Formats: sequence, structure tokens, C-alpha cells
Amino acid sequence: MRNIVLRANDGADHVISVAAASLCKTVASLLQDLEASKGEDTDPLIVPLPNVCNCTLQKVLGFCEQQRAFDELCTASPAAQQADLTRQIQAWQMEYMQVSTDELYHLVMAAHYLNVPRLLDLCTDAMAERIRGKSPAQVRECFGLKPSLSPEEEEEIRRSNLWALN
Amino acid sequence: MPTETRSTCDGVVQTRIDQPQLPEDIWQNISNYLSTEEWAKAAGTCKTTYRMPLKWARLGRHTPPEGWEFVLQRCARIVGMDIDLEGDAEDVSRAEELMKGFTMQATSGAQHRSSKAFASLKELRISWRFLTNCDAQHASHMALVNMALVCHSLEVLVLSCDLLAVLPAFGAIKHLVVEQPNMQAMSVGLRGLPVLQTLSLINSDRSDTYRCDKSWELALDRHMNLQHLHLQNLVLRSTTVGSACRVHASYAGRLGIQKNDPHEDFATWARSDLWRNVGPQLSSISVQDHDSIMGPFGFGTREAALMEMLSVDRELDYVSLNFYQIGTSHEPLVVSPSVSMGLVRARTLRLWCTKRCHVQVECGAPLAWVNFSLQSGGDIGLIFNGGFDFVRGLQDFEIACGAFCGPGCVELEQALAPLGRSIHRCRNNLQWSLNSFEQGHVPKEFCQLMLCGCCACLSCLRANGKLMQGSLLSREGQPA
Repeated sequence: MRNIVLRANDGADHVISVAAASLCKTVASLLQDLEASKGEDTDPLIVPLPNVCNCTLQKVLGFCEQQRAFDELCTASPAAQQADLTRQIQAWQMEYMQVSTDELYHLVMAAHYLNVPRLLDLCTDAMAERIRGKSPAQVRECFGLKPSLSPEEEEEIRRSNLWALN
Repeated sequence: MPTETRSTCDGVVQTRIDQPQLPEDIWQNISNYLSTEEWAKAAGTCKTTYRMPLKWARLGRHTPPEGWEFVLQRCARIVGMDIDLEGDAEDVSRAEELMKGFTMQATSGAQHRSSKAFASLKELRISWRFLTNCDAQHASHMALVNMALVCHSLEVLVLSCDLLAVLPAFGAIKHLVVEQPNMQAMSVGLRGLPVLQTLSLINSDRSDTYRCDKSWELALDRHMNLQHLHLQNLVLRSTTVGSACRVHASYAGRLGIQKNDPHEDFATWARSDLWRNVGPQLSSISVQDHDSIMGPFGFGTREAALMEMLSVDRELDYVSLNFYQIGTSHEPLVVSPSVSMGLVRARTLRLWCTKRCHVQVECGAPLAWVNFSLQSGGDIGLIFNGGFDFVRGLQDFEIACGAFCGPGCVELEQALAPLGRSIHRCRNNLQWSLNSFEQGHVPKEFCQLMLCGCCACLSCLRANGKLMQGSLLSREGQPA
């Protein structure tokens, strides 16, 4: 079976299982394309990820491996135990999302880049929690986002959304 | 934007630099978790957030006109909408007018081909209470008819209001959930929904419950695609489905009867009569009730009707009986070809009860059980008189006991041992109680009772006798 190596932007390599890699749609589709063009091969597939730093990649891979383990458990468990498992998964996810806002930003960007739908949903849910009740300026400050609007545009938007700001 | 420092996961302190903007689909995912007001408040974060079309919109009775307008301007790619109009009459009436205006604008845009408003809407949920006198001139009625004109892709409609007269306008929907349906209007409204696959009717409209002289019938003969039928707390006499359908049917809750209330005396009604006409079309049966189900003789009409239904010789994929109590030591629930062929031929059998469970299995080989789950908050009395030939086909099995597991469980365990399998017999009461409470199967008081003890079945008691204290077993004063 082919090994998959994900290379972070600082050159650090991480070997992951095919099952875990299948949760990253970007990697899965790369693998599929490669197999379609070259057939079955045992050479490792090295995927450089110039947009993902080492610590974020570790975090993403931790998610993929854990989700794969949960998926296997869900398949093997009888229907009556599914509720227990769901609770375990939720508890793990809650623990997993105890990250700083900066880490959350990098995590959501990585989940988007690698196309990991479940991680993306988890991150966007957490971001929505942090955005709730904040003004545009507070959202930008919270996530350290570059302002993209001119002061005039900002004022125009503020006026049109006054009903929600009050 | 001021720069500041941050610590990374590696513990390295770095200077924070302004991050580039998030892509539109990330913002779109974020907006799905927020109400329209919350999203509008944050929408001025950047150009993307301000101009971005919405995928989900959540509007309520407090949403001002600008909020409805905000959604209307961003609804070209919307797939789901949740409108919650619960509240006092004045607020609701104002919101209904807003909704009417909102849908009229959408319709007018669509007619002039200047807008694709709601063209991709797949799921619409409208929550409404205390709505009466909803005639064709009513604002909410007109609003829904307008929505039907533009929502060509709508598949899921969830209504918790009496707006059933508009149902035929949504002729293409596949999944319909109605809370508090007026059964008279429902019967008429359903005729216009030929492609329905899922129908869920929950809690009869209160005016129905007082019409003791009426007995509504749910006729679904024309719905050839119907696959799932869920009925809960309905005042309903009977159900019919098309002869070609195979239906997963479930009934939850009792009829909402206060037996001492003369206006709600349905004691003679046989709830399970609901399914009598459905007969061979049923592929699964799920019944949940806070009452008891006894053996084949000497119990109420409702249980008799259920047992009659289960006595028919047919293959069932799934049977779930969730009662307060299943059988007694004198009158167990009998599983035998002559009394309950439906239980014998069920591939998945799930018996859950709050109190105690007594089941007597009279046959061995014909049992078709592949999955068997028996969970009881009290004692389990399981008697196998027909041998254990069936265990070869058993794949998933579980017995969870809140108190005393009878010898039948041990015998089953012994029968499974040569096959290298063991029964999941002794589960922790705490976990079981939490599960049951969360799923609404048992009253809160019962869970509290369970939470004060740990598993008290024999093997646990042997392992740690002190756990007996506080359990159901010691409460009821029964010897271990």
C-alpha cells in the first residue's frame, strides 16, 4: 500500500494512513488522479502543503486519525451503543476545539485548503460562536483580519445595517 | 490594526501580523450557524461578508423589516430557511405581514425574471403557534402560497401550524413534517402531494382532541413513494397506505388522554388500530408509550390491537417496543409463532422499558433475530423454553439491566460461549439512564433514581457488593 507523506511549509514530513488521508478530499483526489495515471504504485506520495505550518498540520492530522478511529467504532458498534459513541465524539471535539483564536484561524484555513468537511464544520461553528454579538471592527480585531473596506464603504455598510447594530 | 504577540502550539512567541481575509465559502459556513440579525451585525467585516449570498436564513417575529429585506437581497443561492413566529398575537401578526411582503417581492422578482430568489431553496421550516382562522386572505396563507410559486426545488417542508390548506401548492415536496396537524385539513391537503416519501405527524391540533364524535382516517393510498410514516400523539382512528408500498412506521406517545377528563375519554380507542389497515405494507414497527404491555391475554384494548398486529405472519426489518413495563412474572410478553409471529420474524428486536421486563420465548429455530436489544430499568425475567438454536444467526445482542438479571440471561450467555461470543449484559446504570433520559424514553424522576445507584445486576454485585446500596434493587427490598 502506498504511503502518504504530507509536507508542512517548514519541510516537516508527516506520514498518514490512507484511511485518514481519505478524510482530506484534496489529498484523496490527488491520490486518485495519480493512481488513474500511473496505476497501483508503492512509491510514497509526497504532498507539499506550502500554506500549512507544521503545528497546524499536526492538529489537522490528529483530527483525521481520531475521526477515522471513531468511524471504525461506529461501524462496529451495535445500534444501541451509538448514543454513547456520539457523546464521546462530541466530548472529544469540544476538547479538540480548545484553541486560541489565531490557532482557530489557521486551522480553518488548513481545513479549507485540505478540504476536510467535518473539520471545516467544526471550526466554522467555533468561529460563529466567537463572532456572535460582535461588530465588524471587533470581528476583524478578534481574528486579526486585514481591513478590506475604505472608511467611506464602512460607513455606508454601517448605515445600511444600523437595524442590526443597535 | 495594531500588531501584538501570540504564542503558538509549539510555545513559540511570534509577532502577530494581519491575516488575509477568509474565503467566501468559509464565511458562508459561519453564517449558517448565526441568526439573520447576528450575521447582519458582523456582515460589515469585509466586502465578501457584506455581498455574500446566504445559504441558510433564520428569521423570527422580532426581525425588523430591514432584516427580511437583508435576506431577500441575498437569497439567490439559499438552500434552507427557518422562520420562527412563536410569540404573542401582535408580534406574530406584524411578522406575518412582513413575511407576506417579503414573499410578494420574491414572487414579483421571479415573474419578471429579474431574480432567482428561492430558486434553490430545498428546506423550509416554519414554526407558528396559536394561529387560527387562517383563510385564503390571511397574510400567512398568502405568504406561503407565494413561497410555493417560487420554491421549485423545495423538498422538505416542516410546519408547526395550521396552514394545511396551502399544502397542494407544494406539490413536489418529498418530506413533510407537521406539528399540531388538524386531521380534517390534513386528509385533504395530503391528496395534493403525490411524491411524498416521508410523512411525520406530531401532536394533534387541540381542537381535534375535543371532537370526540369524529374519528379521522389518514388515507395515503395514492402516495406510491411513501417510505417512512411517523405518527405521534394523534387522534386518529385508522391509516391506509397504497398496496405497493413498504413502509417504516412508528408510533410514539400515547393519545394524550387524561382518563378522568370527560372531554378526552378515548379509553375505547385502540391506538394500534391505526396500523390495522396498513397490514402487509409495514416493514418496521416502532411503538413508544409510557404505559405497560402485558402478555397475550388480559390487558387493555390498545395492547390487544398491537399484539394482534404482531401476530400476523410477515417479515419485519425492525420492531421496537418501548414501554413503561413489559409483561409481569405472571403474565410475560410471549414470543411464539402462535401468538406473536411478528416478534419471531423480526430481524431487529428492541425491547426497552423503564420498570421491569418479563419475556417468555417459546421457540428456538424459527427466531429470525439478527439484532436483539433488551434494556430494562428494573428486573429482567427472560425465559427461553424453545432452546438456543437461534443464537447462530444473532450478530448484535445486548441486555442492559437496572436491577436483577434472571437466569435466562445467564443461559443465553452460556449458549453463546461456544461460539466465542459474549453478551453485553452488564452496562453501567448511569450511562443507561443518561441515554434513556436524553432520548425521552423515561421520566426525569426515574433517571434521578437510577443515577443514585450503579449497576446492580448479579455479576456487578458479586464484584462489588456495596454498589447495591441506592440501586433499584435495594429500594424495592428484593434480595440479590
